[in-house]
Amino acid sequence: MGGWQGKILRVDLTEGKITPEDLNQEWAEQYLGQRGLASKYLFEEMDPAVDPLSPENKMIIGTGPLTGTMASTGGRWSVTTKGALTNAIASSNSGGYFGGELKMAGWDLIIFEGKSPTPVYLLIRDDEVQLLDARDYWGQTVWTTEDAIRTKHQDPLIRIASIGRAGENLVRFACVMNDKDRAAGRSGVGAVMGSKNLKAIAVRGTRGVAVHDPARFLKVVQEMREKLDSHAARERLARVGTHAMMDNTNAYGSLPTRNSRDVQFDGHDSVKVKTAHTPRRNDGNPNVISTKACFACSIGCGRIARIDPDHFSVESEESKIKYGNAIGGLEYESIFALAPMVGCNDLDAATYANALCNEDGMDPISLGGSISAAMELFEVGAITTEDTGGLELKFGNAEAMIKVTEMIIAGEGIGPDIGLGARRLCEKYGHPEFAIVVKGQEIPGYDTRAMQGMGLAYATSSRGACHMRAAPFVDDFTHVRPDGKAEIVKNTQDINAAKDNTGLCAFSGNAWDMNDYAAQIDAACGGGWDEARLLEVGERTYTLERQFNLRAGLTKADDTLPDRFLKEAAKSGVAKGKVTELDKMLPEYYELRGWTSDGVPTNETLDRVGI
Amino acid sequence: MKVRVKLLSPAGDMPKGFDPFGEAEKDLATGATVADVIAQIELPKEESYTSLVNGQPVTPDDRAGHTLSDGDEITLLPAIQGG
Repeated sequence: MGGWQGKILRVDLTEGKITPEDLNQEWAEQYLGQRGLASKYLFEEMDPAVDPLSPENKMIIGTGPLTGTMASTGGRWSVTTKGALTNAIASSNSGGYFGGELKMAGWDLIIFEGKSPTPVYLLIRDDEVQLLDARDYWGQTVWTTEDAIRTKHQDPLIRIASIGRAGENLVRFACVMNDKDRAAGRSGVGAVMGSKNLKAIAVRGTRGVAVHDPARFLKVVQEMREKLDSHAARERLARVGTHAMMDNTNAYGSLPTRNSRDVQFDGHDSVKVKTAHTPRRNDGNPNVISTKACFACSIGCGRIARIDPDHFSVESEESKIKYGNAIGGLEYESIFALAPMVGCNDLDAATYANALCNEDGMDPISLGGSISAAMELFEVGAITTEDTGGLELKFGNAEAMIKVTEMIIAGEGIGPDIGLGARRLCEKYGHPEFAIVVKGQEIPGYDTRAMQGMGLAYATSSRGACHMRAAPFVDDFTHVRPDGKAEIVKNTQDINAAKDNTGLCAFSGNAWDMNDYAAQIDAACGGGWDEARLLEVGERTYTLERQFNLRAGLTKADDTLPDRFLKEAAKSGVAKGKVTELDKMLPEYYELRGWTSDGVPTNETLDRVGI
Repeated sequence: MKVRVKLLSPAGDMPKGFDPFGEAEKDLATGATVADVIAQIELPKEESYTSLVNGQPVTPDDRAGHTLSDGDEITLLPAIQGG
């Protein structure tokens, strides 16, 4: 056996008990790793109906069989649990170096159960595993916590996944952060971690990862790396990052703007990728000053940014030191959410708000979507200056956007209400229609009136609105129509689920097909992996997530979109005058999946996919 | 006739005739189509490109039949995946 380490850790936080176990190899063969394998453990061990913030919810840290190997992009890991934001299954995927380190320490998964009576962190040094007192770190940011743990243990090579104050304060869209600016970002997995009084997981691994056929593995990963490195999409991702997407969505009319009231942003020129790469007049630096890559990655889509030294966000000396130097920069999703979605044409304000998200562990997509909902509530008078402490929380007010971000983190003023996420916020203030969410999760940066396939992808995503669960991009950027989308969404959901189980990054999929993934897994794990088997794993994973959600109480009624997409026509762009025709896509999708017209997998389907 | 071509987020070096910001003005014969314009530009073969004329989509099947007019603006964008 190779790829898998064959060992998992079970951590009972209530009792403070740590138990190593053998990996269930049968399940590993069925689900590979990460998202799928962790979902299988969660599904078998836990009642999906539990309150996500109760001790009965479990939280599973997962690696894939290629995590920690030299396969390009092989540093991915994930957090699987019941989402605090969505009440659905959550599986949030992150990069950085933590995942590779955990795998090299000898562990495939960590299952956290219960709730610690006091704040703790888990320290793993290969086989030596301890729960330690984290009271000194509670109330501290991710950045401070990472530095403090490394200093305490006198080991600069320890890798850390932790929550910031947002997770401690149970902000519904809190992340689990690692390596300071990488995030298991979506669905509120950081709030689940906070509810367990678990501040951090610190890992040092020195064992390496054995593979089934080292000579074949070396050959195939070299071939795959050459294929990836010479691809046009890799070159673009390395040079301009994911931010380049905004030129596309703005031109096409699928850029969510002002809480999705608009689909193109009049302030686009101020926040587009070219602006981020253009040197400023005052200090001669552009916003993006360098790039970075995760463990084993040969793409390097990560950005390092520097805020304009004259910007109001870094006015104080303390801010200048903390945020005025090199910090994690913007991705497409963060710049869309913290600029067009809130109507702000301020690149540096978005960079600063994104830094706050990294520092205290919040999902910038949901942050932007929650603030934009609050701004719409403010515009109709449902939220007033009395609620905001005098802030004019209007679209386009970058200073107010930043101020409420700070209030959410600190749990002050209107912050906790916005920290509930858009759905709960808008219900509380009497306008549920302003929540641009699916299953409670704020939409990412694609308006579904121009990108109809993405509409179906959001509606049927197992974790709520998501751009990573399916990949209808090529057809959506070609045809504005509902025809043919069901098959594309179903197939790419299965493909993406399989990829998410491997330990590799989704962006490798720009260059690699399923045969390329299978070749690397087979060389690493043995056992006869091919395209068909990988696709079976993908479909099995997606169907299992569906079963979890049905048992959690979700129904067909949750497979829908905000009324804004279904009833209000796009004002401009390629879909001007059109709405999302979900009703034409959803029945076909259910049929292709082998689900009933109520969205329930039939017994034949469950038998076919092996559940 | 003259048309303006905007190339968004191209991979690699900017194709010949485009300024550093991905814009070019092209002189075309009367009756030229969207397909004729795209055929003149060296684009990475492994990616598909969306074409818009004056902001409205022209699907790959319609490019050869879509005749351009003087002053048209053609936008080409790669169907980038993810973000």
